[in-house]
Amino acid sequence: MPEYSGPLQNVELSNTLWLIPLLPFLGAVLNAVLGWRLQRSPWGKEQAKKLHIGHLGVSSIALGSMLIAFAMSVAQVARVVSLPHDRRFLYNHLWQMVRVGTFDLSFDLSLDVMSSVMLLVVTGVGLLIHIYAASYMETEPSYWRFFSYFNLFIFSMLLLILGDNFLVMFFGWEGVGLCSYLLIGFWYKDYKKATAGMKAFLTNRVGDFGFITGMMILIWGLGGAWASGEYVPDQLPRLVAVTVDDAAHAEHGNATGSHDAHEKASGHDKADSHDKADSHSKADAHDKADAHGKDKADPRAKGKKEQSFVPGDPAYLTFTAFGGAKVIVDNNTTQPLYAPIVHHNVGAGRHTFKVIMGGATEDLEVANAMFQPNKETHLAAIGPVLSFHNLSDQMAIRNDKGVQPFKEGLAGKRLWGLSLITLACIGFFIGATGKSAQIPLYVWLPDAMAGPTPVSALIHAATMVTAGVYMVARLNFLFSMSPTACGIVAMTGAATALFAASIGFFQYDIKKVLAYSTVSQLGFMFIAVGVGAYWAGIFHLMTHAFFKACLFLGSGSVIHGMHAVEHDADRAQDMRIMGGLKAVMPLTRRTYQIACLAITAAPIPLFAGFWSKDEILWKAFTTQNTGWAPGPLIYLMGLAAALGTSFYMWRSYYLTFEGKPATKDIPKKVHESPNAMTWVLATLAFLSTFGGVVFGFSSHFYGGHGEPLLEEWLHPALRHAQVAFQDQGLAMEHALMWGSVGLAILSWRLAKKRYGPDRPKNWEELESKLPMFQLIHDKYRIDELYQATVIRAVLVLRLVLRDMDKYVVDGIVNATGVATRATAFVNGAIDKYLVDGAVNLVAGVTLRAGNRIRQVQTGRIQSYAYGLLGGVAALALLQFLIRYYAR
Amino acid sequence: MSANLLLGLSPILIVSLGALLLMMAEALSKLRNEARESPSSSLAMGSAVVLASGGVASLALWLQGPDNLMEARAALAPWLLIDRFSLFFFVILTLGAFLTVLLAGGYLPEHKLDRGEFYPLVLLSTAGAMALAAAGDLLTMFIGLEVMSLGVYAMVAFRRGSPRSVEAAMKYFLLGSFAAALLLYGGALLYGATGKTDFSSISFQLAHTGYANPTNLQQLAWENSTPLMVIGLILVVIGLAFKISAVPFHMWTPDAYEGAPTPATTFMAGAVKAGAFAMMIRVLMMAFGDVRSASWGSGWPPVLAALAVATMTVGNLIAGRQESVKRMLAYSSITHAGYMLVGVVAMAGTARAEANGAVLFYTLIYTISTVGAFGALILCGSRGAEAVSYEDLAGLGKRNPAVALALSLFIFSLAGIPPTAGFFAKLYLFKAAVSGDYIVLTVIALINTVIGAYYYLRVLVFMYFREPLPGAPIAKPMKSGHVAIALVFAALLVLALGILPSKTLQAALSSTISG
Repeated sequence: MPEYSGPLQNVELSNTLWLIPLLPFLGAVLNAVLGWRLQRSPWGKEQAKKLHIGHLGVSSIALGSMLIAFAMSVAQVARVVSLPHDRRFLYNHLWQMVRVGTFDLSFDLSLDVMSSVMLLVVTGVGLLIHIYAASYMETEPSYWRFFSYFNLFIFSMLLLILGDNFLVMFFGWEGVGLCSYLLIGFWYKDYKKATAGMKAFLTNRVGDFGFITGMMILIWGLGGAWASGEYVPDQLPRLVAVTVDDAAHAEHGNATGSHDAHEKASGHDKADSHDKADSHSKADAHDKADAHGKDKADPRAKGKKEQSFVPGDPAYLTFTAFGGAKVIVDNNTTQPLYAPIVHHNVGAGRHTFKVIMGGATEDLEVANAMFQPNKETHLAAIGPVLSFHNLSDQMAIRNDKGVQPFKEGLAGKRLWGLSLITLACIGFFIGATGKSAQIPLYVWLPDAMAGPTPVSALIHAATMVTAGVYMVARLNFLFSMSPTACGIVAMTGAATALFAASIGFFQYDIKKVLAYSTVSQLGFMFIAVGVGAYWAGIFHLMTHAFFKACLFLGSGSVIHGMHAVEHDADRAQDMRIMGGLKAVMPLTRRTYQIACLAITAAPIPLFAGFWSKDEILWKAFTTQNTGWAPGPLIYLMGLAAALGTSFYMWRSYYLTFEGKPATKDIPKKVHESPNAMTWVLATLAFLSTFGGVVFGFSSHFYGGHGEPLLEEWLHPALRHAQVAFQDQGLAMEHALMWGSVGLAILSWRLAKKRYGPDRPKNWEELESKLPMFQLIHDKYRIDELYQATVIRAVLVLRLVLRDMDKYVVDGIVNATGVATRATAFVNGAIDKYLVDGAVNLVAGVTLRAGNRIRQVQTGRIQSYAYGLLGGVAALALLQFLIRYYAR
Repeated sequence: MSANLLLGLSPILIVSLGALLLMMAEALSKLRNEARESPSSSLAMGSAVVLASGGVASLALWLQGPDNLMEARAALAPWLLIDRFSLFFFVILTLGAFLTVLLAGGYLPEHKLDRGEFYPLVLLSTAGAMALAAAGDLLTMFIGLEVMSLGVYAMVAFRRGSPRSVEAAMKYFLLGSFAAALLLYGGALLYGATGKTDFSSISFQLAHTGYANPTNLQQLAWENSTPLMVIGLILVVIGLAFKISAVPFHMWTPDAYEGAPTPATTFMAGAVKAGAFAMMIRVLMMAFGDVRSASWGSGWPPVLAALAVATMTVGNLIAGRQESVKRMLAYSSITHAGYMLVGVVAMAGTARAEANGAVLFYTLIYTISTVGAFGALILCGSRGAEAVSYEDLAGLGKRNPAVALALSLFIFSLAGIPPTAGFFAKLYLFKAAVSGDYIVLTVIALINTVIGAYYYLRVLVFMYFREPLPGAPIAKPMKSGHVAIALVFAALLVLALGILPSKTLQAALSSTISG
């Protein structure tokens, strides 16, 4: 039996993780069941009025559950922080769902460094938006329904983030889609809005198809292989014992691999340690091989080798696959252990494990596994496992020759002439394009703005739409195995970023501008995860959640105010009838301005978005992971998109807040929004200001060796991804960085000139004369294109099939009818001359009986019967052909 | 020995004896005052109890293990095979019928169709379906099929006064007889080719007359019998494909489903389909499960795959065009038959046991969900204000949230959206197909589920996001304890099996055919 080792994920058990999603779920259920009754009760009316929020009871259920969930999230993340570097992973096994054959699924939650970031963003920003919404939806008659959906959304999102395997993630994935659908169509009296919800849901189903296909291909690939045209299930062990490498060595070793040029150039010591680690492990392997060689010759050598430690030394067992299974150690049936087992001292030496799976699944055994003293040894599940950490561990396992047999096995597989891993990754990425609104499935997001503005801020900017990015980052160990897929991800991201930014140029609806901006920013995140800078993707996800939520909520505040002068919902969002709101909504304006600074990095490059966007662009420029897609091209596309961002965001700012009011009523009637809303705006503006520099700044900007806080934090989750970046030097980085800032400032100047405080009166007319204006304003008519192609095609196919039922079957019937008549004619001719009148009599009777039957039958039943016969003929023919060729 | 025999037969016996008893009770109860006491009030519960005991008996036998009933099995074989496979289907069938009679208990009085014979018909048909699921011989297969079908023909025509119902029944009857004739003819050909009527012997003949032992005489025998075998196999498959309404043998389905009283539709979509599927699997796996017949290159899998693709796709695309929810559900049931056929095809692959479990589990979930969906549709309407078209459902989410919620749940399960059991069933079915190396087929099925989401969601759109047009007829939900019980029960199952499917799935996996 080969000895395995590798930098596996050490975990800690948690019994309380499930409480976090449970609370919003309870909130949703309580409001769904009691909400409408509660809302009619007069209780707390005055306080609610004072606070400018909806019904106090409903609000306290919704907000209270969110608040506690947030507090618990902070507590759990604090626990993660307090753990040593290599054990920052909380694992909570809830229940086993399926265990049959090689297929094992449990309902498990886990919290690692990456989901910690997501968890804080979702519960934190979620809480803020809940507070905002309590005020924004104050007068809504179905206030309770809104919050019930809202809490349900948070519940689903938490499942998506905390899910330890594909299935739990997919539960959340579908759940957020459903809630998004319910919330987009929340004001369903408007037919258009209900349609927008439908569009979102159906587009997402297309994405889900990709997700499931990717998952199926992956399961299939992990399970078996092609051999000379036949499918052969792999003869993999289901379970192997793996010694966890010295975590420090392993981490440094991989860290140098995954870092960009700065660290590489400056971190000679690390590189050294890497080499050392390498040579060390090689030497180790050599030793072992030697030892094995000696084994045969001299059995005493083995004993000598194993006696190099005291038998009483501790050695630790970890087993997190197959939750609930019974584990018998060294045939000691009296004291069985139950999975998951973490850090259980079994004593150094060799041990035998028997895993009783229960049900119809056969038991597994690991015989004579070596437990090194003072080390953690995992029983790792091999083959089709769906848990993220088990899967990523499987890819990291090395055997005693230093090769990674399971990773190489998977990487070598091909399907339909393509690398299997590439196909699976493309499948997952299609899923991501659906949820995260990338080309070609982005069309639903702008329409989704039909929902209430807090919904747009929470679901369609800060959380749900980033799920695709999160998934790709979560699967970093898979994506990094396929440069082709990474190239597709990065190029799609870059194309989307550029494309959506250009659409943003000439929109008049303030929410539409922000929607296209979101699509574009999501493109940036995909550039990041595509080029291999996973941490930068997560970083931009976080900063984007801050500033985009701030922008959306700011626009909501504006719309809220504009309702005083404009009662039509669509016109209240039209920037052409705003202007000069600076005077009446100072706080909203200030926060919107800060968020604009954060997203554009111009003219002051210090706010949150600058740090993350710059990191992404730099990584795109130096990437070596994208296969066919050249990094500099991705960089240029990203740069152009960033310039566009600067232009359209400042355009929206100036049109809304600066210049002269479009109507005289604005200064008189429009007021600043209530405190509950403005405080939330202020908090988000604060985060947009400092969220970047705190997490993204490091000493390497002035030649030091430090890493940004977030990158260091995310290491444990990304160390299995093997990515490489060119070394372009610090000077180059600074040149690109300040160059792009300079360009962004130019583009800001341009926006200021055209739309600034003293914009020309006829700015609209000037704008409309620009080349391509109409095409861009019409969003490149992509919706129309889809309508004319995909949707039309499906409709036509339906018509064809319906007609086929009608005409083809009729055709067969008619043809048969003609044939029958012809036969009848021949028969008749024979009859006429050969058969006498007695037969005529019988025929007459038959005819009359036939007429009577015909009254019962409709014509169609004959055609049905002929259809049946046609089917018989077709299938029999098919079967004959198969048999014929089989001979 | 006889006690053992009775024990082995107990599920079928309980149901058929129960049917006879209830028939007697119904005949005697003519003495009572019909104005005050409706037949349904007593018969619905009575037959529910009978079916539940049949189900419990099957479950008990399953748990005890049919291997402990070797005497009974020896005595019944090869005509009826009491193995875990048939016992699992007994549970599905009795469950489907159990829910059906409860639905009928609410539906028939509401729609003034309250005549007692409906219940014995359901019970007898169920007994037929059980015999069909357990049949190990061409003859018992045919008898089971006919016992099942005759009852259903009468149930479809139950609304005697309505020309539509009668027409539907007539169509179903004529085409059904046609299909039964094909099946019988196929059986005759198989007998002609092999000289045997029971599946294991047919399989034995197939395995021992081929190229595997190429003595000239045997080879000659095989070659001579090949056309007969092929036609026989195809005819038997088509006879069963008719009952599961696989395309192109589906054309009767929408008419019959729409014309029949809804509980009868429910029964056809649930129990009848399940019974026919059981038989199809058994014929293909037992009689034609040999290496040559069950291989992609030379056997039935491509035929069935073609059937599956046509069934899924056509059913799906036409379902999207329907304006009547009942017809939509009819076409949706066709589509689901297509998915299940994918599983049957997968059984011929490398992951046979897995596919077997997946199909059984899917059948169970599909039966519950579809019965639930039809049941919720029953509850949505009342006499004179039935829920037929999408428009009828407009605004139901506001008028009656509980009913709308129930309907949404079952629709979700049919569409395969988590956390309902339908999602899990689909996931596992497709996973089994993938393990059996049928990737293209799986991808086609996945694309179909995407298309399917459209028409399922339309139900939700109308219930939650539309107000009824002024003056348009709307469905008025009825009140019925029977239907409510059935729906709550089905809803709990759909949720429980979606969240904790493990035990049931394991049961399905161990429910293999044993010859």
